[in-house]
Amino acid sequence: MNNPREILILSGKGGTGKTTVASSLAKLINKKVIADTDVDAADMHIMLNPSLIEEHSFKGRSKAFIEQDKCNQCGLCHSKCKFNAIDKLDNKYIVNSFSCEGCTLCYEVCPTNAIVMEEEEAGKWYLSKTDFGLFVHARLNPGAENSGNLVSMVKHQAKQTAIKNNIDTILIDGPPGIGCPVIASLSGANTVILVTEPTVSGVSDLKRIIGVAQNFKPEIAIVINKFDINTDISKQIDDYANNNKIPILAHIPFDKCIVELLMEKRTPIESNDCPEINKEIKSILNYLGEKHDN
Amino acid sequence: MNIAIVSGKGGTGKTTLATGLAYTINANYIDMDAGEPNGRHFLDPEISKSIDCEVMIPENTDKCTYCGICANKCQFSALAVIEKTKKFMLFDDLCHHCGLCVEVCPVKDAIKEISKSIGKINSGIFNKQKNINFVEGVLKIGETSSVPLLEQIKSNLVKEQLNILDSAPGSACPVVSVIEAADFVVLAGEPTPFGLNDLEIVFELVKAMDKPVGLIINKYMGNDLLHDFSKRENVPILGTIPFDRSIAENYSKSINIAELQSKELKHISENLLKLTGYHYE
Amino acid sequence: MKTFISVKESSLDSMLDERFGRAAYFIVVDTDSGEIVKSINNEYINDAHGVGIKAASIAVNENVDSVIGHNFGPKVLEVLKAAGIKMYTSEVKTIKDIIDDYKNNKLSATL
Repeated sequence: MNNPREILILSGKGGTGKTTVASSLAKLINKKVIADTDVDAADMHIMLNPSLIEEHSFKGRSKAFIEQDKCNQCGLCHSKCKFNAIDKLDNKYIVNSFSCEGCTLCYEVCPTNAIVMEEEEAGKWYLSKTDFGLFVHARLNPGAENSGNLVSMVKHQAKQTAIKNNIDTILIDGPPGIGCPVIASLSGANTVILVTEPTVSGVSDLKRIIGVAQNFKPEIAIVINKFDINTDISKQIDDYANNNKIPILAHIPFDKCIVELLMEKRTPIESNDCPEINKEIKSILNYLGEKHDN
Repeated sequence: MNIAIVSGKGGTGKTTLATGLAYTINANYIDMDAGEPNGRHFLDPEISKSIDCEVMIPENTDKCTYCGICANKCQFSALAVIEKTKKFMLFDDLCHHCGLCVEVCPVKDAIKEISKSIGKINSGIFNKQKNINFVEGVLKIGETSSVPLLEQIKSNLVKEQLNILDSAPGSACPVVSVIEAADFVVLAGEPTPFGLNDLEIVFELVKAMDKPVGLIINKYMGNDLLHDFSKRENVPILGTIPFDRSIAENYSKSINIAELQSKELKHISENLLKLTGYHYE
Repeated sequence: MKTFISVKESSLDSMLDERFGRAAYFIVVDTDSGEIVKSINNEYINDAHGVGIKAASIAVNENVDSVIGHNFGPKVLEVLKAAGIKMYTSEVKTIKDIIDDYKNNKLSATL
């Protein structure tokens, strides 16, 4: 079969409503595999109430350890390390595993072979069942390196799960920012929905994330959340999108009801309290549906 | 003294609080969310210096024998060397700038390191009367890691001054880099299930790195989610800021929160300075 | 001629592995005899980045004339092209069938 279509929700700036939009869509799209690639602050599981099917350890890159009995305190590792990951404490050289990137430079230069490279667990990834479909998610150990690698793993597993179960759509809740986990999420994405907000920061981040996303040539669309907290800036986003031929799928109003429902772990579409918001979210679905049926 | 503001979740008010605190207590503001640096919108700095942050990437010279040892040893698969057609290929998006290839090369001067810019560090002042420093890291679009930028910013911080470090969201490498430099960590929390979940993750990191910590509850709506967290984990609450549409509206216009919620910010600042033991004149 | 193929198992009855960099094994086949001359366990299969570069480098080191896969990423293309190695893409079939296709010029050449 063909590769499944990947729909990725991103935002650049954090806290603009990515997960609210993604979990609403997760509950509306008919047949899909759901994935959460915000691996160092994963939240989607809170809304989906998953039951675990599989749990896998995710190995990070090996990190350096110094065997003190072999170390002659020459300090070569300390001076050569580009990551300042080797500290000198009480006349002993010790690797700071938070800073070690596992490049093996110290291992190569140590004259007494006192350095060993040891594999470390960097996190876990899970396959779960939810009422809304199969769900691939992960948890990066706090502070672990390799978040991009774990993202690639989650995406890979979601794709395999989709192919195995004959499902042709993958819905992905992505991470904030523009760095490595975002770039790993974008690789292979077909449709990218950018959730933004009409704030100076939101617009500045929106432009940066568009710059990153365009390198991957997906179809890009925008959702403006809390559009009515600043209608002037909302208008600026509308114009910017227009000039760049990017469709705007929805203008979601600022409403306390989103937060109140979130407290009960419910999305707006599961309630009749916010009809305006539901209408807007459904127009995102229509856009995806129209494209999807082709 | 360095005070880092972290949150786990994005959009909980890190930048709002960091710029508000810097403004209230005349502390240097250091934007270390190099992927999305937004502090400038709230402090209106006058940038006087902009330097490139450079990393070193390898390039072969005519001494290269195309033996391929560098490519075999590279842990990041950033190199491919082809003996037959004499090709030395660097995939610089995978390069971590560790210098291993230069070190393991058996031929003298066959690999040299050339510099590549991954972003800018801008600095200036945001308060003309008092000469308060403003510094921000700006990662180039398409670059994957901001850590070298953050390390460079850290190496130029003046320890004797009060520096507010505004972190990226999450709990991965850039956040580690910020917490490492901190003498005190402020958690900017949002009392929702998402906010709590992500705060607990980043708090684990702060604990593992053994830093003193305090909590600001932002967008407070009267529930106890974060108060319970504070009791459970024994994290002092520095103050709360209510959930309020007008705060969101002011944020959208980049109005510094200290101009409008000055009472709350003063209260938080006092608690913070008390806890850190920093004497502010 | 020697060709390099990404496979699920190390046998002529195995299917082609559609993921070049993440294939379980690579085999080198002598296209004249149709025999496997070497089988290589892919030790990079679980690396998250750069698996294509590693796989392409293995092919380069085996001194093969061509590589057969289901599709190739941009980095694989770049390395193999620089090494002057021909690339062919095939549907997912058994290796036997693919070798027949190769002999009958039925595989599509990349670039």
